[in-house]
Amino acid sequence: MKPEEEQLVAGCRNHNQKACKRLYDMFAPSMMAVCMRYMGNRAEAQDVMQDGFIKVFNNIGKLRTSAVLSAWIRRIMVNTAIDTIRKKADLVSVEAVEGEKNLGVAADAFDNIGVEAIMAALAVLPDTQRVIFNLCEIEGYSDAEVAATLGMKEPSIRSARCRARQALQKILAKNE
Amino acid sequence: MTLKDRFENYEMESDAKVWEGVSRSIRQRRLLRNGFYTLGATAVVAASVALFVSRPAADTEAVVTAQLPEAAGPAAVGIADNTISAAAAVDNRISRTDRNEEQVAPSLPSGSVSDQPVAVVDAKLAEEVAVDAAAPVVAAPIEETAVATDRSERAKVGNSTNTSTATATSANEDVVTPKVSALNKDFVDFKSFLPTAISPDNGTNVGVFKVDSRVMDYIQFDNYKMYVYNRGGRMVYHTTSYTEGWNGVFNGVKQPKGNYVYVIEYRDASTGEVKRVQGTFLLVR
Repeated sequence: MKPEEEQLVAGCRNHNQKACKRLYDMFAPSMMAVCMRYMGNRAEAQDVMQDGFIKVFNNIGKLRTSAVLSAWIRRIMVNTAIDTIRKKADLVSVEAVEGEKNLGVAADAFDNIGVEAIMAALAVLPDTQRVIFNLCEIEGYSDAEVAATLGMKEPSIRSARCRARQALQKILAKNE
Repeated sequence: MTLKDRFENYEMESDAKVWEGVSRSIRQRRLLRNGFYTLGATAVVAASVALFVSRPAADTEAVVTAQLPEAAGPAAVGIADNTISAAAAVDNRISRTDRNEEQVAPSLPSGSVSDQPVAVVDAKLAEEVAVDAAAPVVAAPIEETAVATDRSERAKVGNSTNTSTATATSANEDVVTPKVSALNKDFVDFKSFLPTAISPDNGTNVGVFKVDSRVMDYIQFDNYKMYVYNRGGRMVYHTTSYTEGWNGVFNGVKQPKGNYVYVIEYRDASTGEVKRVQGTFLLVR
């Protein structure tokens, strides 16, 4: 942690409102983007962000100085988002259909598309696909890690990811 | 640039009410903790009085009574933290002396009590000790209504240890902060267009198990299939048209009343995903 971050964290541990507000202002814009990516709509994203930041300030006492602050906060937001989606409706375990080939959605299929367009397209996806796409493609976790986090089997993750990419491509193509 | 990089610096703005909710929670937590400290201070007073009465050991008494003026002083976090750790230690000592007369307080952290100046307090240690100490302190002779909130506080801290690890957990019971905005359901459940019970003989009620045609306003789908099974697992009806439904008759025989299972498969036209909906309904006669 950078020294100025450490100072801020120490202030937050003492429930200093000003320090907490500074920390919030530092990370709220990027965390709002993260929550929007996962939830797809503004109202739920703001709920998730509020719950997430409350958890951040409740647990900031346990943060070690060796940890990276931004990564820790982001992890809390992602976990809160996943928990919220789970509460809504259990994550759908997609069975890998036998004949379903990975109809090559090219690795660089999304390179020329603007971030806003991708965000809007993500919002249309069903919850499970959206979460898996976020975790695999944007956060960069491996299939095994995502399977462990969500409590699903690896083949499900792979096929859901594949379907997410296909669906996204279809949506983005429709809107061009 | 990978997707990850492009999203790394993406930012969005949020409403002010989000911070308001967070700030409210911070304030409430601070009040709760301050409440514990005054609780702890009172506990120390009671404990030291009890100690004085039962075992007037010179050195421990001196150390413990040295706490009293500090506790009565300003409720600064640093002082209160010392008080809490002393209170926990003292409480442990009381239970030990009941069992063993020869005990000298090994648990009294003399370093943190007498030598340490107020300002140099490990806030993290204090928080952990405060949470652990809160329970025994409250369980001591003082009856306080804060016990209930203390438990929820401990439960919150206990549950939230998992948030920073890789496993997803069930969310905290946040008993303190109400949600500011209601959840916006942007998706509609197919099940809400299905009857929960049908009554074919009674003319006024729903007599046919089929999906309400208004579902097409909300969900566009095709490749519709519906199957109905009885409790024994036998299929009593199937159709591929969403305008048709089951009237409770199988092979010309009116089926008995009870629970029946439906399975509906359809293809969502917007995403192309095949969806499966299943549940039960009641056949009433």
